[in-house]
Amino acid sequence: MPSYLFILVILSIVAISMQLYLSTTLMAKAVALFKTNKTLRVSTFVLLMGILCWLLFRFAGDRLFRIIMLFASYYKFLVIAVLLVSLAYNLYKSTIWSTGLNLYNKARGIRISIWFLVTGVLLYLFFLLAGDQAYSIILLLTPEYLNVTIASIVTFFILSYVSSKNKYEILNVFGSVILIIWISVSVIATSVHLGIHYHLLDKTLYLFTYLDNALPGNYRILPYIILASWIINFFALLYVTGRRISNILDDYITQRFRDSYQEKIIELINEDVVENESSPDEQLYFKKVNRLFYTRQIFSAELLRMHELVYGSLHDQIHRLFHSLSLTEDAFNYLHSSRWFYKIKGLRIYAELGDSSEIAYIQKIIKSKNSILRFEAQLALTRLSDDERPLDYLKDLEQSLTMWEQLNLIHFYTNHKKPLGDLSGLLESKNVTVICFALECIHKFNRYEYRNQILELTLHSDGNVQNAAFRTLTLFEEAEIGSYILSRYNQDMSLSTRINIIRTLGRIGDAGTIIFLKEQISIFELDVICIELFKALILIDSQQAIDMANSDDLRFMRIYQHVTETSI
Amino acid sequence: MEILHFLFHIADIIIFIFGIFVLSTYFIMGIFSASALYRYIHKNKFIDYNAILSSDMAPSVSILAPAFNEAKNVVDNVRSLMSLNYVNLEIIIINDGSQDDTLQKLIENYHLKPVKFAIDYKLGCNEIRTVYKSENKAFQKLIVIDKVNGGKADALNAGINVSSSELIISIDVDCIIESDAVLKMVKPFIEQTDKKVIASGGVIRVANNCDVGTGKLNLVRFPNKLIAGFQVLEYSRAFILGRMAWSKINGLLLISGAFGMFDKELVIQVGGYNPRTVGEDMELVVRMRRHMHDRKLGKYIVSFIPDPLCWTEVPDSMKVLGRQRDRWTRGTMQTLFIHKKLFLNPKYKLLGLVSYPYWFFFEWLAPIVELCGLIYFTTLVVSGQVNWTFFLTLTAFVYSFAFMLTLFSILYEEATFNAYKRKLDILRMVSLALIEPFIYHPLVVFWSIKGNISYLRGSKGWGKMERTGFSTKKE
Repeated sequence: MPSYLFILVILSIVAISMQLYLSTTLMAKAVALFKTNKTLRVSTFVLLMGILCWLLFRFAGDRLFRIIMLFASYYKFLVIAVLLVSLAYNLYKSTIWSTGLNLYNKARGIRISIWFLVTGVLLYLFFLLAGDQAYSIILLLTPEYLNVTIASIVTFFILSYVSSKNKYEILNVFGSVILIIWISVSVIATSVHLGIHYHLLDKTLYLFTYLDNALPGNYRILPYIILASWIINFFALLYVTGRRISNILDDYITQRFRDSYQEKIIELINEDVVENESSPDEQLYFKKVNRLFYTRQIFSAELLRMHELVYGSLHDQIHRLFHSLSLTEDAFNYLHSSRWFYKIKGLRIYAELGDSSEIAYIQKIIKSKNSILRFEAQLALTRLSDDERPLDYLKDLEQSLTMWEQLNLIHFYTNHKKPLGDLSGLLESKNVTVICFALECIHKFNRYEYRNQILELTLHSDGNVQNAAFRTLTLFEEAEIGSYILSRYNQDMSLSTRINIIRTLGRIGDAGTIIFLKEQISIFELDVICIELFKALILIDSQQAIDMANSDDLRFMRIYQHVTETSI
Repeated sequence: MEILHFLFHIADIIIFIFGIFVLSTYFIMGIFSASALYRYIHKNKFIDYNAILSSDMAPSVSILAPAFNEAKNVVDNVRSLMSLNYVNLEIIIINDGSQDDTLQKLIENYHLKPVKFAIDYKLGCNEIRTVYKSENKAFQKLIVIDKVNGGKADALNAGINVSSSELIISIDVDCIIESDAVLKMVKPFIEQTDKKVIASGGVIRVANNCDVGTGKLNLVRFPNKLIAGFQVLEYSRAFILGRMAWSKINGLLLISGAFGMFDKELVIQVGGYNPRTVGEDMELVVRMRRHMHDRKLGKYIVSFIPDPLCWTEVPDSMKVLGRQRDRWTRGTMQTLFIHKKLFLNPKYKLLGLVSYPYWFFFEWLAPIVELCGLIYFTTLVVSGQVNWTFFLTLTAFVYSFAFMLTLFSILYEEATFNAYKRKLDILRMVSLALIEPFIYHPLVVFWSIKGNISYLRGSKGWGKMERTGFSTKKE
């Protein structure tokens, strides 16, 4: 115990000294802080109450208990009197006569009175039933453990006070940790003490033996399950509390390291370096960073972030730093880790640094069953491949290239000035999703050179490929292509393919197309087709569409109005 | 007397077996849920949704929000929907014959004008009077439908008829949706490979006492009313433990009507929402799953997103909560009876052998078993045959288990999304978990029994839901 108090005193002195050092107007600030900081006020109140209670029990002893008992005997009358007075007062003041419930809801006095009554009755019952035992429990608690609790609250109070400025938030966290630990210690110590005093262990064992005999055969396991569940609950609660504290700590510490590393990295990458040699100061700094995996991770993440933001020679400086700190070893370990999320970290580092030394291994990951890993490997390979066919690794892909993967790859090429390379290999793939992706790329990046292959793909056995091929044909505003599409329209086509054909015709159509569209509108199959036909007609020649709408068939007008008015 | 003893013995065995089933089911669900959450959280760390935001390949999405007498919040709620991050979005508000000035408020605030809309009535619904669009380019995504009142399911069907998108999201108009909710919900659909994603559900969170301003959630606060606080625990258990576990084994039967995304084409194929049920959300999911099996349309997934995407105001009065639970029970019963063919039917695999029986035994029958247990116990007391040691041990066991289950959902919440960040919130949740089995659970059982009785009496109404509106006070 004395050692705890000694540590406390030391901590308090350090904390107060820090504050004295930082502030010269301590008292003025303390008063202001007390007025604004709720935690501080509550802590002070709790501290004072604790001291008061302790003093009372310490010095009043038996007399206090007699006072409590005396008070308890008359308490119910006192409470009833308060209730009646309050009720009368509220009824007198209020016009709410309707129901008691309304009154309870509206009048705070009544609520308080009822709570007084309930608490009073409970206390009265407790003292009546527990009698001497209750008193002895209180006495048991006071001398040994109350000072521990008070001491921890004092620490919390002091640390909260010192940490009231944001930059000392960490002290608040330490204060909370100390408080929690000490309260836990006092609770456990009190429990053990009470347990020994009342022979709780013997009683528990007796209870279990009793239950074992009293319960039917099938249910004898229940007491053990109950005990196990409460042990689990205890650890779950510890975990929840610990996690909350560790999150706050982690956020704080990580942020501090990040801030400091960012400054240092900017300083380091702007230095003039001769022959990739680090200065002794740098080496010392790197040694400090390298000491812990945790700090190395943060430094590495900051370097990568910086790498994304800067260009040119600064990139080389970052690469140098990466090698000087041997962070490439970490990247290698990540990549070869058995856990998928570490592998992803490794992939990202290699991709960001443009380091293609592990490209063979990354190519193996492309075949992984883990979709997230596969996707990250695709992105990494796309970034690392330098040859004329950077996407050729997709050609033999066994799994489907999902829409998510496709749009991420396209997003990459849209945002990075990297050549897409030759796509003919992908158009010949056996994987239809890869063909669709290639067609989407051709469409998006205007790759006219694949005209003939696209035409061939309109005859592909897969409907999705056909759709994508017809959509891609909008690139080519040629009469020949228009006639080809028209010739395909009435062949055995799915609804979605027909819609795609009509949309393409809307983009590239000519006079011949207008005749065709008008014919199809006259047939009027489905609303959805008719809407698309009208849209296409409006795109090519809006006057023709107006003429159609003004014809005798009112359905045309309805569709025409729908198309024009819904696009306000 | 011997017969009575024999009956008591049988009752003992039934209760024991039921208890073992419940215990092991929840235990397995806890493990599945933990595994699914672990994977999701790790996976989500690496995802950048910007690719969807900037892509014209992203599937088009229509948000369908039926509104009935929602004048109080509708303008703010539509504003919240308008601020959702998604490139290819259409917001359809369906005024389901409101008797207040819901429509008028929308017209005034969003500069709406009637348009000639060629509606293709693919799904049956009550007459659509007018379709409105805004003259203001800023509200180009917004479509408002004014229709004759027909209930939520009917309104959603009307919305589907007007929608021009590939995917639909059904929401309650009073919900606050997180700005990246659509992006996260769409992702399973664009990630699908050989398994077709037919629907995707999201977690519903309790918004009571949260600070909501201009249709956005500014600050999450734990509800200050006891009844809403209990529902936080209940929702946490249901969504984080329950549905996450079901999604892990692809056995989800329910996607909350307050926030769920569906493949529109499939919804139309199965005939849309069923206006004759009050649990139209569950019924639709079951029908879609059944359709996939009946037509042998291949493998499919009903996915679930554990992120807190949708915040709703839960009832904070016993009366309204009672009505809601009565309706939920009737909805469950209607769905279970409509699709009784699924019950332990091996043709439907997981759906028939696991999901449906779970709902049958643990969601519908459990409150009835509890009532029977109470009657059984009362009989024992009256006949003087109660074994108090046994009774108290069993009560302690049930209580410990119930508390442990809730504590684990709090733990999962803390380890994953940690929505309630204030220091005292955890303490509040744990305290409520300790008293919940004595205060809240008996009420839920009572309302479920009431729902059963209402169902048998042929009650079909929704019951009135009174809203207090969101808080805008600052911390």
